[in-house]
Amino acid sequence: MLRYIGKRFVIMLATLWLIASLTFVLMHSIPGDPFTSEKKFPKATLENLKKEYNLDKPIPVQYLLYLKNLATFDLGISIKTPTRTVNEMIEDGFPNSAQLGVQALAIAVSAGILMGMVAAIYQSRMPDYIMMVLAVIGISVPNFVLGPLFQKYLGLEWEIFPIAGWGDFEQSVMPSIALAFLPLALVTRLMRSSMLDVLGQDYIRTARAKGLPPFRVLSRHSLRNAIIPVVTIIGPLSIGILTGSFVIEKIFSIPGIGKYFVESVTNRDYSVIMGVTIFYAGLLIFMNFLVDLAYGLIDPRIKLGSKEAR
Amino acid sequence: MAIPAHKFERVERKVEQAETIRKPSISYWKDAWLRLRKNWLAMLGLGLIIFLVIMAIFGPVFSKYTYYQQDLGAGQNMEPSSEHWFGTDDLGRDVFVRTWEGARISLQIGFFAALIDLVVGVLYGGFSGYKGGRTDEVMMRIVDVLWGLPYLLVVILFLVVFEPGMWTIIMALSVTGWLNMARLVRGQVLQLKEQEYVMAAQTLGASTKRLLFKHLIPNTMGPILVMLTFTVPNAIFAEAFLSFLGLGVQAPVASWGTMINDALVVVLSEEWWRLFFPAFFLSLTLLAFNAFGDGLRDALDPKMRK
Repeated sequence: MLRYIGKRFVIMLATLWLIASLTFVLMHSIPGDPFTSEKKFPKATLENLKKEYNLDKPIPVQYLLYLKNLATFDLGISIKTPTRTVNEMIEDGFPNSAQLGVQALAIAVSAGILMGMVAAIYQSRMPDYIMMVLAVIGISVPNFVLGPLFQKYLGLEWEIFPIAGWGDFEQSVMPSIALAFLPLALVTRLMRSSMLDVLGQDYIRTARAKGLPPFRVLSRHSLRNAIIPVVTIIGPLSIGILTGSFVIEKIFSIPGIGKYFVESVTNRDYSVIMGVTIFYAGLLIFMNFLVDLAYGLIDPRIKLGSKEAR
Repeated sequence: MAIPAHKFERVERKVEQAETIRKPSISYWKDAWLRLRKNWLAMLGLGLIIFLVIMAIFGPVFSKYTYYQQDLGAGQNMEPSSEHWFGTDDLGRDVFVRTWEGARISLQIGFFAALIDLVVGVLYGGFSGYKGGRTDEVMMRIVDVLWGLPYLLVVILFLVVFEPGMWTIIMALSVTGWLNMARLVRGQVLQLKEQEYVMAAQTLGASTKRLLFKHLIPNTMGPILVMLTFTVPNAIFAEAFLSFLGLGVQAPVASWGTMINDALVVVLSEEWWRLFFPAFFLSLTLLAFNAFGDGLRDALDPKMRK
C-alpha cells in the first residue's frame, strides 16, 4: 500500500512539473513579450516593467524563478490589471466556483446513483426506458446548449428561477443543474450496468433466499458493491465539471475562476492564464490522486500496485 | 398416419462428403453485423451519421447562398422561409448553409481525431504491450504522467499561443487524445501475445513489425473500432466547446460552437432559429455517434452473446 501511494505520488509530481513546464514553454514561445501589443511605452518604462516581471533575465533563470514561485504558491501578478495578483483572483473566484462545482457533483452523483438503481431494478420496463432516454439526452446535449434553454424556459417564460447572477441559493440552482447534466447521465449509465452485474451474482440470490427484505438486499448487498465503479469516475467527472464551469459561469455570469480564466484568455493576460491553468491542473491532479487512493480503500479485493489492478 | 416404407429413401454416408461444412461459416465481423443490425438504436445512429456526412458534403451545394455572404438590411434575422430554410442571422447570413458548413468542420475534426487515435495510440500501445518489460514500464509511466493533464486546459493553452483554427485544435487534441487508445491496445496485446499463434509466428521468424500488423493489431480491431466511435463525438464536443468560448475557428467560418455563442445574445428574444439549428444538429451528431458506438460495443463484445 505504501509503495503504491509513493508511486502515485511521484507520478503526480511528474505530471505537475510537466504541466508547469508546458505552460512556461508555450507562454514564452509567443513572439514578442506581453507588452508588445500594448500602446507604445517609453523605453525606460518598458524596461522597468520588464524588470518588474523578471522578463529582463535569461530564459533559464526565469524558468527557475517561476518554479520557485510555484513551489511557494505564488502565482504572480496580472499583467493587464497590475493591481491584482493571481492569488487574489483565485481567492475571490474560487469559493463561487467551488460551490457551483460541489453542488453539481452532488446532484450528479446522488441522483445518478438513484436513477441508475431504479433503471437496473426495473430493467427493460418503463422506468428503465425513461432513465435511459434521459441519460442519452444528457450525453448528447452539451451544457452550453442546456444553459441558454434553461434561461429561456425556466427563467424567462415560467419564471421559476432567476435568469442569471450569483449570490443567493436560488440563483445557483439552474447553473448547477445545467452543469450536472452530463455527469449525471454518465453516472446513471455506469450505475445501471454495474447494478445489473451485481444483481446477477450468486450472493444476491443467497441473500434473497434466506429471506432478507428486498430493501435490505438492495442497501446492504447490492448498493455497496455496485457503487465502486462510480467512485472511480469521480476524478474524470470533476475534470468535466470544472471545464464545464467555464461555459456555465460565462452563460450565467457567475463571478468564478472560470469566468476570470475565459476573460484572461480573450484579453491574452498571460500571467493569469498561466496561474489559473497551474492552479486548476494542480487541483485536478491532486483529486485524481485522492480518488486513486479511495478506490483502494473501498474495495479490498483490489490489490494496489499489482499488475492486474491496472 | 403411417408412411409407406417405399417413400423413404436411404441416404448413404459418403466418405468424400464427411468433412464438408453445410452451413456457411460466420466470421467475427459478419456475426457482429448480424447483431448490430437488430439493434434499432445503433442502426438509427448509423443512418444519422450517413445522413450528416451526405448533408455536410452536399448541403451547402443545395443552396444559392454561401456561408460568408451577408445581406445587411432587409435580410437580417429573417425567420425560416422558403427563401432561407433555416432563417438568417444578425448579419443576414443564411443559417442553413452555415449549419452544414459547421457540420463540415465538426466531422473533419472528428475524422482527424480518430486518425490520430488510430496512428499514434494503436502503434504506441501495441509496441509497448508487445515489447513488455522495461520498455513497457517506461512507455506506460509516460502515459501515466500525460494522463493526469486536464486535456481541455492543454488545448486552451495551445490555442492561446498558436493561431486559433481547425488545425490548431487538431494539433492540440493530438497531445493527449491518443492516451485512452494506447492503454486499451496495450492491454489487449498483453493478453494476445501469450497465445499459441503468436508463438508459432515467432518460431517461424516473423519480425516485430509483421507480428504487430499481421497478427496482434488485426485481432484487437473490435475494441479499437469501438474506441474510435467514442473519440469522434468527444472531439466534436471539444471543438464546439472551444468555439463557443471564442477559441475555435474564427469568423467568418461557421462552426456549431460559434453559431451557438453568437445566438446567445438573442436567446431571450424571438429569434429561436439561430440557436435551435446549430444546437439541434450538434446534439444530433453527438447522439448518433454515441448510439452507434454503444451498439457496436454490444455487438462486438463476446460477453453479450447469449
